[in-house]
Amino acid sequence: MYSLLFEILIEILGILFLLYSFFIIVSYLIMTVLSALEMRDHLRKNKFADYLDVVTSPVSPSISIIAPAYNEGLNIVQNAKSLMTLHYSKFEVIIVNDGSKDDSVEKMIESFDLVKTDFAFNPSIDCKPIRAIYKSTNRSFSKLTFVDKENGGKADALNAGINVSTMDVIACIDVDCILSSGSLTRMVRPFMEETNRKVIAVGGVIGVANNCEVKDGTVTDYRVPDSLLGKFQVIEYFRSFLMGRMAWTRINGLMLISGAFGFFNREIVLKVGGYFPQTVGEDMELIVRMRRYMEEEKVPYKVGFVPDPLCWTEVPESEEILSRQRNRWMRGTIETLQLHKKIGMNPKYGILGMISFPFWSIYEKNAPIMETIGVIYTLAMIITGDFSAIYLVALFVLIYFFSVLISSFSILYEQMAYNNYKNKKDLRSLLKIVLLEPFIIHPRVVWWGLKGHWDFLKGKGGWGIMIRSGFKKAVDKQEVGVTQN
Amino acid sequence: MTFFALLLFFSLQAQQPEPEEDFVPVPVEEVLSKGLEIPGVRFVYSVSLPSNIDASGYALNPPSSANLWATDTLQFFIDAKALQDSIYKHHNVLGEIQSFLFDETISEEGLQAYFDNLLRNELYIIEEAQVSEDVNVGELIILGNKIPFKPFYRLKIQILTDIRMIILISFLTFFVLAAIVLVIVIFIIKTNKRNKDILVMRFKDLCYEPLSNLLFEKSLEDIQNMSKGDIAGILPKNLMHKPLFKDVLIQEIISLNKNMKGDFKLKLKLVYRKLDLDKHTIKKLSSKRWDIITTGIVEINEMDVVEAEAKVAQFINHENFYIRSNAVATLLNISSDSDLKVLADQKYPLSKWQQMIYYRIIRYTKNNRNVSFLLESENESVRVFGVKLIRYLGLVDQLEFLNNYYPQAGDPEKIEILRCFNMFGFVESLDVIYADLKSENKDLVKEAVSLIQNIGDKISLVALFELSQVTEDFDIKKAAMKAIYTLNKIVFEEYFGESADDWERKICLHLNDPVLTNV
Repeated sequence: MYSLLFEILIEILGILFLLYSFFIIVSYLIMTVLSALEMRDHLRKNKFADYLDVVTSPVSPSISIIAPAYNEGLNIVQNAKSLMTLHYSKFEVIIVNDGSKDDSVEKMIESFDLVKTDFAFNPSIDCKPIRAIYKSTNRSFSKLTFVDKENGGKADALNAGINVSTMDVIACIDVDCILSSGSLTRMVRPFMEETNRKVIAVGGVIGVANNCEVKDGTVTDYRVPDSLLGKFQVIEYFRSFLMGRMAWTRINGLMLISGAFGFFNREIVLKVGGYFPQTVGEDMELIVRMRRYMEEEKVPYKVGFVPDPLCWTEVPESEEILSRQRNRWMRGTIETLQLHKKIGMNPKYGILGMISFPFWSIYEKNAPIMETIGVIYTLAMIITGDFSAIYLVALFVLIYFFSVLISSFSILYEQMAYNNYKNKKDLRSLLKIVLLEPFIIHPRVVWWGLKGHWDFLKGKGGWGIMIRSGFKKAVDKQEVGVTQN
Repeated sequence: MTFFALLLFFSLQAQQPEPEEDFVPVPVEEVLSKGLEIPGVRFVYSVSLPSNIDASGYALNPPSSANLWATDTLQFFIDAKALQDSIYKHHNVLGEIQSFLFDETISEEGLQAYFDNLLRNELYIIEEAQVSEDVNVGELIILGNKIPFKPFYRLKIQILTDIRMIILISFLTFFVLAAIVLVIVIFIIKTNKRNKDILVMRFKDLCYEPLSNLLFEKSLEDIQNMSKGDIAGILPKNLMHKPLFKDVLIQEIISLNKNMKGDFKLKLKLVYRKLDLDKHTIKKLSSKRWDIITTGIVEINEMDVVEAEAKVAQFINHENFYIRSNAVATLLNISSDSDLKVLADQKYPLSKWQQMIYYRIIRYTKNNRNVSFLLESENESVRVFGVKLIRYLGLVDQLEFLNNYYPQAGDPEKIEILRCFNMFGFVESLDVIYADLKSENKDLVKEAVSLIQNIGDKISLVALFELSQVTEDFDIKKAAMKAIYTLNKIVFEEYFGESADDWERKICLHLNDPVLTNV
């Protein structure tokens, strides 16, 4: 009888793993098709868009670019200048110095003729105290506002920037990002186009700038990074942006906009109380909360995505930094899902509650755990002798080729849509990584994800009790003071 | 869960009792009489013979007492039996064969029990060849070789009885099929795209020179006098029937048309019509693909194909955003509708993107400036756009209408009307504006304050001061205080100069900061 129980358990587990794998494969195949359709439509739509009009039209929305900076003294002046030369008529640049310990403030004051002002703003979002707000006496830099505040983290700095901002749309970017000169015109297009729904946020693609040639703030020659981890991230970014987010956009289920390059409707951001600084996944959390708010208020809305290459950033090529980044991303995901657990499988929240949230919970959050259990299960089966070699080979072939297929498609998408990596040597190099990734890099990514889970359980970096209890409503965040951190 | 299952398995396996195994009992005599040895069992034959008989020739040991002759310990029972038979034959005395188990005498029952134990525990295996005397071993091997090998556990059976394997193979098959379909589709798309790109480049090269020749070497009259055949003769004849070539040609003509002026534009339009490319363009309107229809509409717009106006008009309320946007834009451009009725009849809300496009067209089309129909439209977004046009185009003759319309307008319209009044410094009576200072719409209040700031009077100061005191919104308070500051600094200082209120103090400092004058 006991042996039968064991057999049943093994069978159930085996079937569960198979079903899990099956649904992943089906989901990704569907996503491949959806993203292809969305990309096709986007490219077709682009044929009929005249972006030059957007720059000067009085109808175009005004934009506040908010760039938090911490110890960026080396490049802060150059980066601020670069932001101020973007092609757009109505915009302001707000650089928020988040308590840097270097000479960022002095350099900014000196370079832009800044003086301390009595700028009065509405402190509607709680944030760490602002030491001073600077404006330039030079009219050439009238678009620039420099906020110097006490250190509180990126989300807190963005909240300070949002408080100071005055425009219709806020663009939250990393100060070290390279933006294409036409990035603003392209990113505001979804805000301008929609007729029946309110566009609450628009995300953009982040390109890998390592090893690329940059001229006048734009990447002119695309080259893949030299390191293995750098190349891996190029493919990963293709998969994430050109496949994943495009597919989610197709069904209006996008739950994440990169914190390095995201545009938001300021009115809605203020209504939900801005970023939540107590989570390490502030970018995802804000989008989920904004969507949740719109669902609770029953206002038709949309989260847009622009797949054109408009923003580039240096990705970490050191294993140590990358592992920390992935650990943080995993914790951010867990914290966000935990904070908004109420919306999971709740039909009241539409696609967000019934598709996006469960998908993230099952496949993004739990993937490292499921993969690890799967490996342990397989090893246990081999040790006990209750395992078929054919089964093992078939499973391995399935998973390996699936991984290769998805990665190859993402490269193909990039080639068909934009064809930025023209050098065949680079393409060959990327294809090699596609073949090696499941063996060399993926196990490390899983391990970093597991460590993220472990760190979350230990309560590292997060705000334990609040995150575990979650928000009862989207607007609950406004009741949470920054001082409680 | 896996660990638990494994633990359960191992711990419970250890507790399970050994199962009893069956065996077929074989009479020990049968085995012994076949000359087989049973481990540990030996035999001694003994016989009592008369004293005159010397049995030493039978390998029997001389008797120590009572004339009892006996053999040494024998390994095989048949040896003892043979000796017994021989003695009986010659001396008619039978004697006795005794069995020994490890030097101890054992009875027949005891021997049988011992042998059964050996069989049960598989310590003694009776080989068929040994048991059966009737079967020839060699023949058996030859017969066996003639039968084809069939494994007892076949792979097919193993796969078909394992549910996980069935599911996995089903997934694998599904995945492989889906992957193959996707790869084929992508490959076809990529190949088509590449081929199309190559063709487009080739066609562009082929179009460029003939078009340049027509533009720079022929006058407008020359082209007018040329027949379709004459112009087509300059271009590659064999490609003129190809839709892609026509598309490339149209795009080249449109591209040149955008960058040229005067006669060149007329020449290009003439060439376009002479080659019947307008018909190719109009044909696109019947397509099922939205992007082809939109391309056709854009081409009609660029090349002023006025005869297609009626067809384009069918699309002005199309559900596809791009089709209807371009259809409206085209009609605004090519039709003689100076009252902008095409816009006024819009059923869908106008997006900012559409407003941007329509504004550009209306701005450069001098005839189309009568916005009164827009202001009477049933579509609120159209009315709002109408008010915006008054502001953008400086249509001051419409201000009186706006002034009369203001009290019954909705909030979005009021906001635009206030911006309009603000721009032109126009308003007949501020009373209606003061009423809107109590609105719950923050944007409306801010616009009203902004207008009052520019055209207000002494009475306005009271209204603004009241607003600054009752509002709980920082932005409105700031706007109201700024308006008071602009209208009368002395009054402002009097009211707010010594204010203890934190917000008011901060706003005072802000307004008095010279660097923030325009912020």
